[in-house]
Amino acid sequence: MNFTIEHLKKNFEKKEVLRDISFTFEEGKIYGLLGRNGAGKTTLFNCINKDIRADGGTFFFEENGTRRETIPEDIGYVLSTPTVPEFLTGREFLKFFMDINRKYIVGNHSTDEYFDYISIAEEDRDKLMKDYSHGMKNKMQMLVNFIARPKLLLLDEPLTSLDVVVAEEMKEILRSMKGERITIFSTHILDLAVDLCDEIVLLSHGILDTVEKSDLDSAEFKDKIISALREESHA
Amino acid sequence: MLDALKNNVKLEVAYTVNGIIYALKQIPLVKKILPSKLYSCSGLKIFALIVMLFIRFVEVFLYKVLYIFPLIFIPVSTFNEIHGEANSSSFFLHILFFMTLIGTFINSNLFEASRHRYYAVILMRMNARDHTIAHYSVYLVKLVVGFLAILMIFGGLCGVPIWMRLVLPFGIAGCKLLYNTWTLYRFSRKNGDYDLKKSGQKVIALVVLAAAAYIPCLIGFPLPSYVTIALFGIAAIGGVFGYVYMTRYNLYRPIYQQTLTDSAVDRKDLALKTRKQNVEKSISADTNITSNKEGFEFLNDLFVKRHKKLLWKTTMFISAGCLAVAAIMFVIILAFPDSRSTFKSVPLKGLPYLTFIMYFLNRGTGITQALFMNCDHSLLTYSVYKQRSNILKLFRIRLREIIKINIVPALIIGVSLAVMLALCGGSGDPLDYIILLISVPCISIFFSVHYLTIYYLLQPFNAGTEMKSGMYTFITSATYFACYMLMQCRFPTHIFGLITIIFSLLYCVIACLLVYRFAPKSFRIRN
Repeated sequence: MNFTIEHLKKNFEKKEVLRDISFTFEEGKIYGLLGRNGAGKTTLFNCINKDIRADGGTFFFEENGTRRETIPEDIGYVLSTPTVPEFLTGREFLKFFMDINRKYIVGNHSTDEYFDYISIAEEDRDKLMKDYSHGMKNKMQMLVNFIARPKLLLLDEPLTSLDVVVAEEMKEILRSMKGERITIFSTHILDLAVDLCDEIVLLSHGILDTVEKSDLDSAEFKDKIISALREESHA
Repeated sequence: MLDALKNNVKLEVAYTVNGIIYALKQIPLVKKILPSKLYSCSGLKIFALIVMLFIRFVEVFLYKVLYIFPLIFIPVSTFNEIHGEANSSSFFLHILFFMTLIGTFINSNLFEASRHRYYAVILMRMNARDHTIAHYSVYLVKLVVGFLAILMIFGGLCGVPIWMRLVLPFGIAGCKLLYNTWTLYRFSRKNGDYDLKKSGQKVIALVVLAAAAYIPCLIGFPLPSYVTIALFGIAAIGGVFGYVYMTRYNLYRPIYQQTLTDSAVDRKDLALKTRKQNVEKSISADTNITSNKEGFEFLNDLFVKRHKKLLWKTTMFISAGCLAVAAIMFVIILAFPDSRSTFKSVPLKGLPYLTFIMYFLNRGTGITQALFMNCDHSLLTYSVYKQRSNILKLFRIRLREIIKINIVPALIIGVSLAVMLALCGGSGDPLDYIILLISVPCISIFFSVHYLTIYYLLQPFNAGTEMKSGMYTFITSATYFACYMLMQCRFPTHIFGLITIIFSLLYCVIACLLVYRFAPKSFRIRN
């Protein structure tokens, strides 16, 4: 399965935020979408999630040579600021999502097994989520997106404001979730992208550009990306 | 100080002009003709500057008219009618004096948490004393000039001698200066441990002062003119010393650190936060609340149970009110048989008015707002929630719930009117009873459907829970207008009742079809 974007455009008045986005993402990989602040990462996600209308271009899934349009259940979108219904407890939220996603759920896991998986302590599971910390809300948001098993998982800077322990736990969850789906992870933190992602894609001046994935961990690679972002932003 | 004055003016011009340009850009037709590089367009800046100067000019005089005319001039005219015009000048000065004291407490300017002050002192780190003195001096000049002009007119009309009218503005400024001086002194004496925002004592003081302003005049014993003008004169002289004290005071920064918090500055933001907090607070923390249902019924069940107070409290209050009014009516009808002929026409001829009453009793907007703030705001970020079938499933459940909440007072009103008709001698036509019993609940259902439908079709809130839809505002205003106009209709009762029932049912069908057709696309968080 591939997810392809062709000539996607989005302007805000005369400002071309997405100029000509074309790219093919492959199943089973985590893509690090790197861009400077204001480069259009969230706009790209909002267009893919159909929260805003694109001004041009298309995007679609391609499976066994057949193209099809995206439908809402294909996409999981995790926002940087976690939003969970605060009048529900963690367990009730999970139960609700398990109820309405019955047909997509593989295996017969209990709510407690899911909570164990994302390391939410027993005493917190039956608390109203309005009393959850930022990190706990973020984990819940990630978990329900995982349960729905979307084919495309969009993560908009989800680890930026988490403490190191939670951030490491989240990375582990993401790595374990990456099979059978495409994960696009937007960030402006280079180290995070290098650490977690299989491929790095640069969004700069309204276009997407891949960076050769050899030697992802080397210092030269980081320098290469930074200079690429610099050059393009001053082009 | 001159530099501070210049910087204050520059800052105020900059953000007010940008604010005016921003406001212009919100007008649908105007925004198309505005250039894209709005904020650097010098022509537009000059235009906005002229608008700003005009607004400031009007403010200096208009606010004073809005204060003096209803609160002093009208009461003085009334007291003149009661006690004769001999005391007119004393009435005027007496009320003005106590009103000035009230104004001094509630509008001293110096401690006001304004956006301007926040930008200047906290963000741009201007010297707090220089900023304060420059800003306050301008305020005093505007105050004196404004009052001089307005008191010349209204004081003159009330027979206040011209020399007194010349003293009064300085007396008013003096009162404010003395009060501020006293507060600054208390603040420094208590080493900053002084709550500038405390309001409990103020409320009592204001009530006492308001009583002192009007009651003596009402009974014909105002303070003699020479006493009030002497008090104003003393205040004016004291104000000069107060001003000198203020220019030497050096604890302005700690004061602003107490009064200028982020939330106090952005009023819109503050109102939004308060609204959000109120809705969040409404979540019941009762741990015994559970649900045995599944899926969306489970979600809705918990939403209703955990927001019981918010959803049902007002409805129960309205219902109790309707029952009480009905009970009083029944007692009057039973106790005074003569009244029956008058009351008999109320149930049937009152139907057009009922539409307007039902408009006010309906809680559609409040409920949809709570739905968004506490539920949809978060769940609309999940794709599964936006699936067509799920949107429609939840719409049906919510429609049922909202109808349930709103129909309680409607049923009470419908039944009460039917009983009232029967008690007043009854109607020979059974259709009258049927129309009353059906049309009132139908109107209620119409409003329930209406508000939920426009919520689903226009979803007016953005991620920051701000209302961002002009169309939504237009439709709610149009609803009000239509209900108001209906009161002017003079249809025969049967026709009006039948039209109401048919229209309500037809509207429900059309609205549901529209939701089925468009909501899966429109029910999104607004960008």
